[in-house]
Amino acid sequence: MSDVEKRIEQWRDGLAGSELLGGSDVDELESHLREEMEHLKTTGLSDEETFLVARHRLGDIATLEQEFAKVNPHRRFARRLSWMAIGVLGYFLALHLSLWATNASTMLGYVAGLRTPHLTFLACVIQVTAFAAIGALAWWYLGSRSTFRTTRRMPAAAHVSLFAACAIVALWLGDNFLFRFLLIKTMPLQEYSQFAMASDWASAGWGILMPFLIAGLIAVLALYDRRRAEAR
Amino acid sequence: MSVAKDLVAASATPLILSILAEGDSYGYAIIKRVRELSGGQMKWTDGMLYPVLHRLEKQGLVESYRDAGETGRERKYYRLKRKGTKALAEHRSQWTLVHNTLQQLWETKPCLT
Repeated sequence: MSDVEKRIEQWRDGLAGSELLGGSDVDELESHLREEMEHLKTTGLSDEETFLVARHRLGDIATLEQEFAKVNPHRRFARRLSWMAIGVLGYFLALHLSLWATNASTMLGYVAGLRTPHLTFLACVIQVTAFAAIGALAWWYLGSRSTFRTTRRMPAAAHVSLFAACAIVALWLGDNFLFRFLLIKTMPLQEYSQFAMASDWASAGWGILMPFLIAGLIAVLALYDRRRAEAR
Repeated sequence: MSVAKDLVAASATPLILSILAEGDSYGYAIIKRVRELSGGQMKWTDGMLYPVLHRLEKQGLVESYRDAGETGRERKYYRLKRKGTKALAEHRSQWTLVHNTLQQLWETKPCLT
């Protein structure tokens, strides 16, 4: 990618990061920018110079946002709401995926001869690791893609949400049918009650820890967002 | 001489509607046409055109469609709708009224001596 292409992408990213501009708005503005650049090239300016002049003529992001906000005053709210919904769905999806990993490994551990408290310890470690791994994967995936490419797919968000909701239900059912049911059936009562007790202790600990983890995550995200805003 | 900001903003809608009355067009071409017609003296911040176009579309005065023009690049074109033509006529009579009023005041008065 040439330097100018990189700068165009950066500029486009800045616009796409705005809650007030839709994907098609950004497309339209980019098409305008490119046409202006082509026109300016005929006057003998360098690629870099054509970009700077065309960007200046289009106006800065803050002014554009202000004007676009007049046309779509509810867009900001709708955007925030959809991000919130994505966050909640994402949390439940990650939770159920990690539960799958936990219960599957508990089953395997039990079959392999592990017993409480080692079995519970294994379950806790797997749950926390799986949850953290899914979170890290999501972070990496979103971070490695430009904001433009991610938000551009917002119209598909409804489909993704529906898919995520179905996946959560499927995982939940599968988890109960496959693992918990089998666990109840295969474990002797004594063993099971010990395991259930230890699991309850673990989930109580998890429940106490969770709000702090979420608060920490929000703080990190806010800091990250502010840095990005400053870079803009 | 450049035109005051308020006047530029006020004239944006009739200008866009009039340009679209000549035929379907897209953002960049509309800006270029305004520049040509005013000899570069009506300075728009280019990006401001799009919110205005989108508002006109929301109001049902224009409609948009995607089309790959002669260069093969896909663009968003705007077309004047019937309601837009009516709105343009309304704008036109208002602007003509303002123009005529000012014109009478500014005309050089005949001198009888």
